Order: sequence, then structure tokens, then C-alpha cells
Amino acid sequence: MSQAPMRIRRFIIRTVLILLLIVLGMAMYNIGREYSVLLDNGTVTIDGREYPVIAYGSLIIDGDERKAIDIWEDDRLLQKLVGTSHTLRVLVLDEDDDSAQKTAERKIEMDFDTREWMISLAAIAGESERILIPNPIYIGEQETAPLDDEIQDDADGIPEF
Amino acid sequence: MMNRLKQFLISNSVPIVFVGLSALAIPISGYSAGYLVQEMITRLARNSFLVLSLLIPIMAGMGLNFGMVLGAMAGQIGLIFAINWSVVGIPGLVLASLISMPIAVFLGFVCGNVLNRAKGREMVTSYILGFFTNGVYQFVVLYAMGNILPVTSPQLILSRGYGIRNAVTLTGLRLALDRAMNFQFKLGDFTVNMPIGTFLLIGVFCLFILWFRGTKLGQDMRAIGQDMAAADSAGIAVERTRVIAIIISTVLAAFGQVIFLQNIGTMNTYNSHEQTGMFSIAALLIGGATISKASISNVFIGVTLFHLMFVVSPTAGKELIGQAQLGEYFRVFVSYGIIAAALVLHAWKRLRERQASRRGLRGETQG
Repeated sequence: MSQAPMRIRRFIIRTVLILLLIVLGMAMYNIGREYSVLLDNGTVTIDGREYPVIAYGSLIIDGDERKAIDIWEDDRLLQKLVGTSHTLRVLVLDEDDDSAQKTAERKIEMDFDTREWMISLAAIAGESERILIPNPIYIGEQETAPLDDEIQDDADGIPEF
Repeated sequence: MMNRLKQFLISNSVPIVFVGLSALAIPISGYSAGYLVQEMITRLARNSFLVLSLLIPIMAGMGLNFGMVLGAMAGQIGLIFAINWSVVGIPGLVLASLISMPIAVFLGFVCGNVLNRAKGREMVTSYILGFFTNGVYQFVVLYAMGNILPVTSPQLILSRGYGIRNAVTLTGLRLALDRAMNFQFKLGDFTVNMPIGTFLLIGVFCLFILWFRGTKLGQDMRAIGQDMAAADSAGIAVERTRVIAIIISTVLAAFGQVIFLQNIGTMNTYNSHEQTGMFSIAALLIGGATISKASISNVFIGVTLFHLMFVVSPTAGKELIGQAQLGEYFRVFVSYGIIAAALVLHAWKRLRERQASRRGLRGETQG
């Protein structure tokens, strides 16, 4: 009996196994990748519209209410998010009785440069189409940092969700 | 009856000595039962996988695989990449293992082929090969990473721009497996944590070894372990099978190092792997294994006894003479001493076997 079909079969099985391992590795990378994301709670102007700061609120990430984060005016939070897809729920609360005055939820995909962009909580609460704003620290680090006007004009360069 | 007892005592002399030493040292150390149980559970979870990786080469008659440090290096390279890409938790550990796998296969292949050219001197050859590969590893980690290999994380890279830091904190990976399925129980005043996930993985590995022994490849390895010339005459591809044994051991050692370091939480880039082989081999021998025979029970008995001595000896030493350093010396002495004793015993047994077989050929009765 010829050895050739056996060799081909073995080669195919080995190739499939190697491909499966590569796919598993890629899946693990996507599932387990940790992103450091800046969440900014400041008044922001996007596409000519101003979204006011949240005076007092709460942020729930991926529906985990036990780990709800209090938001105060002009907070800038660094959050570590694991995985590529997340849900941010912003609750604007009444400072006296903690009752929710407004709730907004937004799904985000981590397909943007987390050093370059921050997520605006005010924009989420205001249900803006765009919620990413430039990270001033990153821009400061760039030798040829673009001017604010240029960033505003270059809206096409901002990733959309 | 007396002969059987004598035989039992001779076969298990090393574990019996360690049980005796532990029985003396535990009361002197003053540690509570809860603390010792916790320490033993933690250390069993941390080390068992590494020690289990030594079983397959022993089965193939290749002795104690000092070349397992090659696998440990591969595991560390996998972890470096997982940290560099900020992959955390169980996926990070799986990714580190997947990255380490081809490196370990390659190193195991090289090691196996070298050992095939040094039949009968596998242990010393693999020991020296470990030193040689350590040089290559240091070149890769100290110069290539950051220069040639794309490692950019400031958590890893030295301030000069290339080379990995001496101590790397495994942020996000620390205890990822141990905490995945943690079970707690009370023992006296002590709350003992049982990392079920890690033990499940170790259990799967034990089942794999049991299954593997029954496979065609496993039977071939056992045949080679018993008599290489006879196995060759029977048509078994001796050299190929020996290379496979070393590859399996090296890959499993890489996984073992990933499990070991996730438990420790910090990777000592240039030293973590160095003691891995020595301590794993010492633990296996203390469990009653020999160079030619080792079982799963030897692994667990050995890890428990060896690490029990690790835990109690510094405090016992301090209580006895006021110097904790005595215990430190003792455990290093034990690690190297037990390996030396095992090698001497093995040589002595082989000599006796040869003498017995010569007497048998002459028609003399054995005495």
C-alpha cells in the first residue's frame, strides 16, 4: 500500500492542529487583552454641541452593579477593561436622595488607541453619537501635536462607535 | 515476612528518613496544623505539574530530565509576551502556554537529539545543556527583546530601551488559575484556601500519564526504558521515541513553569528557571522515586515532604540554635545531597545487578 495518502492525511491533521492552536491563541488574546481607558467627566463640545459635566452620578461597567463607580464633577478615571467589547451605563443622580435622573447606556468596542483617546462620560449621558475625545496628555507628548481647532475640524479621524 | 519488611524499608528509605525528620522538626518549629496544611496545599498546587513532567523521560529510561529547565525558559518567554500584550487572567496563562509550546518543542527536539548522541550519560548531558541554553536565553531576553523582538511594555523593558527587567511583576496573571475555582475550609482557627482549578489541571495531567502509559507510544517508551537494545531489535524506533519523550517533558515543564510563576506572582527573569530542575528532581527523589522508576504517588509524596522541610527547617533551625540560616543551609544541602545520594544508589544498584547477572551466568547461587 502506498505511503503517500497516509503522509498527506498526517500533514493535513498536523496543519489543522497548528491552525487550531493559532486560532485559540488569537481568541485568548482578544478575550484576555486588558485596556487602560481614561474616562473623563468634564464639559465637552462635540460637533458643535456642548455636553455638560455630570455633577454627581454613577458608572456601571458591563452591568456589574456591585462595582458601580461614583462620578463627581471633573473626575478623570483610569479603568482597566478586559476584552474588546464593553457596556458603559452612566446614571446621572440626584445629590440629595441618590435617585436616578437620567440613565444612558453605550456599547464600546476597544478598536481605538487608548493612549490617544478618552471616553467622555458627559457625551454618553448626553447620548452623543461620538463619545471619544482627545487625550490632552498624549497630545502634549507628541512633538507635532495638532491644535485643538485641527482636532475639531478633523472629525473624520475620530473612531465612531 | 522479615525479608519483605526489609525490602520495604530499603525501597522507601528516603521518604521514611524525611518523615522522621519532619516529625522532629514540626514540633520544634511551633507552626500550627492549619498553617502547615495551607502551605502544603499551596506548594502542591505550585510544584506538582513541574515534577510530573519528569515522569515520561524516566519511563523512557532517560533518567532525570535536568533539561526541564529548557521548558521552564520557554514558559517564561511565553509569560513575557503575555505581559507585553497585556493579556490577563486565564486567557493570559493559556496564551503564555501556547507561545511557550513551539519554543519548548524546538528546545526539546534539540535536547532529545543531543541526548541520543550521549546515551547512558543523559543526565549530565541535559544538565550541561541547561547551562548552555541558559546562555542563549539570556542573550534573547537581555539583548534581543526590545531590539529584535517586539517587546515594548515599560513594565518589562529596562530603561535603556532593550532587555527585560530582572524582576517582573505578573500583574493580572498572579493567582489567575488558583483563584479561578477557590474553595475555603476552616482548620482550627485557620482558613485554608484550596485552589481547585489548579488541582483539576494536575488531575488531568495525572490521567494523561496513566492513559499515555497504555498507548503504543507509552508501551514503546517502557520497552526502551527496560532494554534499549531489545526494543531496537523489536523494531521500535528508539531514537525517535526518546526525542518524543524529551519533547513531551519539555512542553509540560513549560506549562508547569507558567503555573508555578502565576502562583508566585513575580518572575525573576534571569533566575526563576535555574532552580526549577534541581528542586523538582530533589522532590521526586524524596518521594521515593529512583532514576529508573517513578510513579505519580512519588510526585505527591515527594513534593509534600520536600516542601514540608522547606517550611519548617528555617524556623526549627532558629529555635534550635537561634539561627534561621541553619534551616536555609539544610534545605540546600538536602536538595543537592538527595540527588547525589540517588545517583550513588543507582550506580550501586546497577553494579549489584551486573554482579548478580555475572554470577547467574557462572551458575552460582545469588547471595
